[in-house]
Amino acid sequence: MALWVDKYRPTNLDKLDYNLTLSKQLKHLVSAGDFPHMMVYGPPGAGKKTRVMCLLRELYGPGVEKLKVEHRTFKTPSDAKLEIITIASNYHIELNPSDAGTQDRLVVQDILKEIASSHQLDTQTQRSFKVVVLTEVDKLSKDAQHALRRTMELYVSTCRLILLCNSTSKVLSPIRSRCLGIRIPAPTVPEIVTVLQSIARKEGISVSGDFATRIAESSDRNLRKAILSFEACRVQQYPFVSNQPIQKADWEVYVEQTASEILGEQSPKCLLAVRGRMYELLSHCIPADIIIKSLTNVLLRSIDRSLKIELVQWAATYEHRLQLGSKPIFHLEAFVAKFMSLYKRYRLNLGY
Amino acid sequence: MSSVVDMLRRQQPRPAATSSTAAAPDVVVPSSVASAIAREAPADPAPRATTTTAAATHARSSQPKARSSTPSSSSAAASSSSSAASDPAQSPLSANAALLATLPWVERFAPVAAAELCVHKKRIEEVEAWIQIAIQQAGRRAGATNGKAHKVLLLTGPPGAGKTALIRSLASSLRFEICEWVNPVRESWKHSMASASTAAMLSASGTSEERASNQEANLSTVVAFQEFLGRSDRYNTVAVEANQTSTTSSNAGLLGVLPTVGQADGSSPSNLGKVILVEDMPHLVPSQYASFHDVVRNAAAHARYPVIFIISDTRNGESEVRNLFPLDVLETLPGYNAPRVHRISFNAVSQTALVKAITRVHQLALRSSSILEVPQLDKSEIATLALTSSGDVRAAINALQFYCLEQKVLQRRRFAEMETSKTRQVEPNSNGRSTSTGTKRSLQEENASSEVRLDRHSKVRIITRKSGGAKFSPDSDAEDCVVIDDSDDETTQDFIPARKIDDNPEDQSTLDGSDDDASGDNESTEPGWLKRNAPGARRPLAKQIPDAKDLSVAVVAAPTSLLATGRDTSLFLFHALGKILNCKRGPACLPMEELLTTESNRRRELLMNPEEVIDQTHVSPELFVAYLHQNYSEFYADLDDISHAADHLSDADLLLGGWRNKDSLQSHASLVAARGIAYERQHPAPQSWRPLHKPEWFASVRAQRTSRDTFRSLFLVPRALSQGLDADSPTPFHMLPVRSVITELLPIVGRFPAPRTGLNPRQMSFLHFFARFTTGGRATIAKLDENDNDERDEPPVDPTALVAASSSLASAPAIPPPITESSTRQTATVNAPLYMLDDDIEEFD
Repeated sequence: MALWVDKYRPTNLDKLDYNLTLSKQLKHLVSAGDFPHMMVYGPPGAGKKTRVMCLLRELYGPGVEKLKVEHRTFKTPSDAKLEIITIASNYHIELNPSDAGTQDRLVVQDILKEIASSHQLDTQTQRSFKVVVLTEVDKLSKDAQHALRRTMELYVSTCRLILLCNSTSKVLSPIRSRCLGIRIPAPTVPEIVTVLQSIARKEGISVSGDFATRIAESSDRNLRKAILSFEACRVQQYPFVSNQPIQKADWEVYVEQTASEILGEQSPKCLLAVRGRMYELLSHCIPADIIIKSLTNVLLRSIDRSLKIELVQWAATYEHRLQLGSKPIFHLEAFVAKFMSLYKRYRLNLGY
Repeated sequence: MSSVVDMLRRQQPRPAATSSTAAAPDVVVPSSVASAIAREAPADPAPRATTTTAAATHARSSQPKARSSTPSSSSAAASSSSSAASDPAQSPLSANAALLATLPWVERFAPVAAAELCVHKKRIEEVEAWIQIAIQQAGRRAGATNGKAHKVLLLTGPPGAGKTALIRSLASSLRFEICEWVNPVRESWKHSMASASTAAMLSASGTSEERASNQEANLSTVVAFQEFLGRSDRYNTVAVEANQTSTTSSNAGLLGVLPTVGQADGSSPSNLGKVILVEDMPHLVPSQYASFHDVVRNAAAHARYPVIFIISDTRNGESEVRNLFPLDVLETLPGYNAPRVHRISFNAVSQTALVKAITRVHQLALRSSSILEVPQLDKSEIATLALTSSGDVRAAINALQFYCLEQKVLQRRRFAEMETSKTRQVEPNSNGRSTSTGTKRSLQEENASSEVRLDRHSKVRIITRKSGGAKFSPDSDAEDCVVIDDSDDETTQDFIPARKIDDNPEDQSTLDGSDDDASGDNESTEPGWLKRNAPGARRPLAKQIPDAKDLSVAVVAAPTSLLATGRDTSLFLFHALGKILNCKRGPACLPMEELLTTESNRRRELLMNPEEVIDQTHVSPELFVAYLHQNYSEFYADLDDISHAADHLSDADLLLGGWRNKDSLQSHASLVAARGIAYERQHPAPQSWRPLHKPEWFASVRAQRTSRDTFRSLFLVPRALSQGLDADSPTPFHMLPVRSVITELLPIVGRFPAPRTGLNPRQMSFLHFFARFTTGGRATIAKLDENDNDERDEPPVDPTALVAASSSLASAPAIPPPITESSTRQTATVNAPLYMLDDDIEEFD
């Protein structure tokens, strides 16, 4: 199995296609010998993980690419078993502590303790520390973050942390201050187009700049999405036609349909239908914040400028609320109802 | 209750008859004979009372292991030699009647004829038809009945709906005997009981079997139950006549075998049908359920006599029914065209039927007791009694008895006071009265009534002086009337002469016609008032209730003493939701509301009290809010209203969200939701019947969890990767957070041909299933049943189910895990029209 996303993933800091200055700085950092804790953040599909892997290779050499999946079980104080999947090489371990749900603190502490308690065998040729990569740190509970802060200090001699997250806003400031923050901005559309075209070259297919741009534009500047979509288009039809539809995830299409339903009719009945659609999305494990975000994006495209500010404001309000609350459907529905009522008033004022 | 009965019995100087019953704690009593006697009693002057189970008939005694009892209360009458069977109370001199008088009214005046029952006619017919066929079939094995197995009947319904009473009444009309299972009691206790009544036991007539008690105690309940079924199936009950006592008593003590006096099938002493009644469900621990199911299945297939199970609904939903009679037990067997277990569910008794029942019992009580025992009640009081007992006949009649007791005390006190206050100056202090009756009476009327009051005081004195005792009218045959009136305003503050007391035809027959008309408008005329106190007329003791149907008003207006007797009402979720979603409002704003400056903020007075409704619904706030959210939008017509209400629900969810403050904020959450929904409903949707649904949320969460777990086991767990991939090396699915995998990777990868992705068929079928979106339809949402209460219907997540789910994905791709929570209780309710309490009908119509 080789999806293009993986096949053409750069493995070397030199081979990265964009944010070249950043690559250079990271290289200097490694060669300087001192290596701080790091917090790498940026939007999804910007290449955070790819860059971190390149960095690790720079640190430890090709050995770091020999990965294996491990299944670790933890015992909670209440004797319940907790399974976490980790990906590890000889030099680093990567895990997503938020998989552990409410017990994430335990996982973070145990793993760090375990890694930190053993030194590298050969400190002459190797680095003296191992690296622990924690993904989705912004999903960690406050408890776990506090635990993390303490362990970061304790084991600094034997291990370094690389924290990955989308946004630093949910990470405690003590942790932020202990890390070197590295922001990876999303690639611009031309950058994505360049990447797509280089892939096409390597695959031996031809793609027009126009088509590549269309793919890049529909990807929300998410490179992973763009490449996946590109490959899906290739599977669907090749040679490419200029008006070929860009492949999108089913749920995105579904959200677009929902948006047009909302714009089409504003009534209690329609709201009920939309609720059914929201449930359908939630049942498919689409996170509520992604639903609200993509719905807002779709709606923004087709409404008047005067409504846009209000729409975004309400979207932000309800997105915040669903983070605080327990049942996202309440807030999704309130958001849709609010927009419907706004839009209805707007249409009435126009005299429809 | 039954222990009280026993206690009372023991206190009585026992004649032979009663002692035999009290000391007959064991097993099967030959009730066929008893009931036969009971029916023949009026014609038969010879005292044969000794065989009957006498007054204990309806007392659900806890001590006997299994007891068969006569179906009607008339057995009691039978024991009192020459009295009319239909009216047990008319033989006050008999010793048994004295005993009878100590019984609670529920037992004492239990219904005999089907007409006296509070059960809906259709339900009666249904049960009757079933039992008739069952009795005809009795003796034949299920196989020989043309595929129509009428062997096991299951009656469900709220307590006090008349389930047992119906069976007992049918027993007398269809002439069958009832053999009842009663849970075995502990050994030690039994021994002491036995020794206490050894003498009585020896002379015991009917109870001819002593169980192998020491064995029994060690047996599991299921085994004991099975044995009971088998035994009552195989043998007839013993028929013993009163004068045969000595001969049969020797049979007592046989172990494990029923004494078989009339062994041969046909030569059963009475030739009556027999029905096995299981009301006291065997106490089971969950591990025994399976074997209980086997017993039921076995009974359905092989039993000779029909078995009737009666289970009361509790506010915990139907969990017990579901445990004891799961779908696979209820289902129709192959080759049969009727379900294995026929199920009939009862509804709570309607207001009108309750009023009827209370009136009947009250009349019986009036007739049976001496004059001062039972006070006259007026219609509004009976209506209030009916209202406060929430569809439970038993509770209603208990409340009636209790209330009458209280009134009796009050009356006696009044008597005493009147004697002492003969010289006291009576003042018309009508101005100080409260006017909380809900009706606004004009000042004139008030004055008029105060005049009446004055008059009455003087009158009362006259009357009481005249009568001296209580007996007032010599010409009244059965309906004696108490003629004391109140002279203190504390107890009956809002005394108004009842204007419409004479609606009841029973009463009118005893009234002279002129009285009716006179009392209509002309309250203050003396003759009218005088006549109202004439024999047969009813006298109001409580306030007049303007509209008995309106619960809120009625309850507010009812005197506290009436409320005290009422059953602690708990609302089924269905009704609670109805009350809030339909939030009825009064005609005008409350004065407080008028202060609001903005017109749009004012609302008319709310007729329901959300706090109270929530209080009476025993559901967690979280679940209640979820139910409200599921159902609120259909009750709105205006989008802006909905939007505001949705905001309130969103607020409520915030209150439920933080786990730190959850405990203290939870209750507020349901209030915010309920009041918010009620407040914003300015443009209600047109009134119509709307089914209520269960929250989709939980099903959605379940689907989410299943999908996630399936994804995990298929893509992330190494052994799932064994095909075609190096088990150790990570796949792209490992390299990303699950969230990104699900939203970005999976939907696209699902479109690639399998060779390109290297996924196995199971993984691919999961991807296909996962990518399928349907436009959500309401048809699939489980409806909320009237009797349902809480239950989240969340089956415990066990790993085997997941494996099953994932394997089913592999074998039959793209089949979502079926959500079958609704199908469980369809069987019963399909043919039974939903019956609702009166106030709900009003709401939903």
